[in-house]
Amino acid sequence: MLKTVCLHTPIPAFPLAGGRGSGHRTTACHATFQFCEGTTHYSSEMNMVIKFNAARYGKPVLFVLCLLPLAWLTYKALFLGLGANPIEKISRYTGDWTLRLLLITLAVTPLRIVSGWSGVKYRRMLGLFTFFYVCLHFCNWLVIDQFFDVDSMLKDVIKHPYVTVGFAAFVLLIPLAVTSTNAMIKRLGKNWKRLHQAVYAVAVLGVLHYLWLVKADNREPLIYIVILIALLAVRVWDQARRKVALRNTRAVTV
Amino acid sequence: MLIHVRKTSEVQSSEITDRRVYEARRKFLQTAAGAALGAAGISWLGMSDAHAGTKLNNVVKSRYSTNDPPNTLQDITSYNNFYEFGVDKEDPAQMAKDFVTTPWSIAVEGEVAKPAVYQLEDFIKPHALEERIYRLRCVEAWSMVIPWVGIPLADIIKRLQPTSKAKYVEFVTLHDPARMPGQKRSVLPWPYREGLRMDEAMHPLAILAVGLYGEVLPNQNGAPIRLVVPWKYGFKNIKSIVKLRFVEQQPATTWAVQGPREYGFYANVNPEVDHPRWTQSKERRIGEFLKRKTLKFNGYAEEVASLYAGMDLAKFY
Repeated sequence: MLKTVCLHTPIPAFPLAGGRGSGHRTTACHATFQFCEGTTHYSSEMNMVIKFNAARYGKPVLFVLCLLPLAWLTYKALFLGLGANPIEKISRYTGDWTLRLLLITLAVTPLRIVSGWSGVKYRRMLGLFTFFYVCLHFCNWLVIDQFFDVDSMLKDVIKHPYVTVGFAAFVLLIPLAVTSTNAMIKRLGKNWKRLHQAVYAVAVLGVLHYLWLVKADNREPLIYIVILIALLAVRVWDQARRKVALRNTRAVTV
Repeated sequence: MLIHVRKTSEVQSSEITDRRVYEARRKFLQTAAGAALGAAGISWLGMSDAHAGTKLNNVVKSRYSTNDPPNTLQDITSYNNFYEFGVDKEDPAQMAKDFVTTPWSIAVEGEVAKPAVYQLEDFIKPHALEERIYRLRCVEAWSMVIPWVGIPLADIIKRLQPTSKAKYVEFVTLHDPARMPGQKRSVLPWPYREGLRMDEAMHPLAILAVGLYGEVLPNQNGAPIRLVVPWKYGFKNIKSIVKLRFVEQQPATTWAVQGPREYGFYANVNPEVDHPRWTQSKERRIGEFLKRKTLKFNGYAEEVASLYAGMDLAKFY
């Protein structure tokens, strides 16, 4: 026997369900606590249980997931050691994770376009974790690597192109992080979207930062570049498709 | 009841080796000793196998050694560039583990009295081994202090008798992608090549190193034989050398071919000439927290500055 207890609060379905615009909105009545009094019946309802859990625990789980790279780095630093040049290791590690999270953040929309699954509610957290890791990356440079040597840092930023673009990307990310609150989104209105398009520039500068740092083996930075181009291509393709669709509807109405 | 109290000198029955075991062991040792003796004839160390960790004998100290405290063997052997074994600085220690360096031959070619191919042991045998504790400054702005064991390059060159036409000496690394997996990808134009002007090569500071910390050079550090020129950036110190060529023209060197704007033929450590990626005025000594100032010619100016008198070092970087 299966009993379902309704919470009476409409909760949007975990976005894995249904295609984009398919109109499927599951309320809590369909996806709530289920008390199983046997093991035979609940398999068909199991999806619902998972959906509910994801809706409720998705963000906390993602939060923990995003902290795992830092946890691993800390564990290594404390128990395994970071090798002969720990400062360089921290720099590479936090830089890698900044780029990865940035690309994951930028993958949310293309993923929706391609698969119909919208993870838009996770995007802010992903973006803020990108900023979190770039802050670690920057602080490692500022405090540990350069030890507040302003003169040396200025020289580094001005003279070395890979530092110049990396620094620019970091500075550009600051306003995006600051304006990520609900209040700011409301206050900025249309301009918010315009401002947050700077993330594309950040991404381009970010992958250039990596490409120009590498001495001879470009393979890894090229992988990031290819992924970035693919993600941007999906957006461009989608925009073009929408334009065509819009023109067609207009043509029909006229 | 008799209680037997064992004297400390008394042998317990459990400590006595079974006859079959010790006979087998004896036989094994005899065979091994025979094999070792046989191999000694062809070994430059008089030992069966010149692998890393084998102690080098009769190493004399040198007045050219620095007083800076050396880096640990762990640091020196786990963090270095050796693209033939991977592009990450932790790769060589892993990837070069099974690199076999015996037998090893070195070809001597070009403007030289007797071009020939030498077995490594013959190449080295006539010379005394010296310990040289040198600073090493990488172009990537990190540095170490390394107790090499080697032979003054000048001594070897004198023995090889280059002709008056020899203005430069070119060094070439082994090219064997099966043994050096990093060469399977064309990250650099293989084989790795380096070169020195003749007067640089004849300078008493320049050595060919065959050891580290009094022992045979570990594979990842350029076994079995590598160049060490302490007043130049690390990449000049070509590893696993199989060829010396005496030439009239300045040879094309690997990194200068790869990035001519960034790396030059001379590659003298110079805090005044910046690199497009790294500030060269400072360096991080591995194991230290704060960066230290980079010294001109890596602190060997007194010895080598005269080699470059009148040269514009910003142009000839």
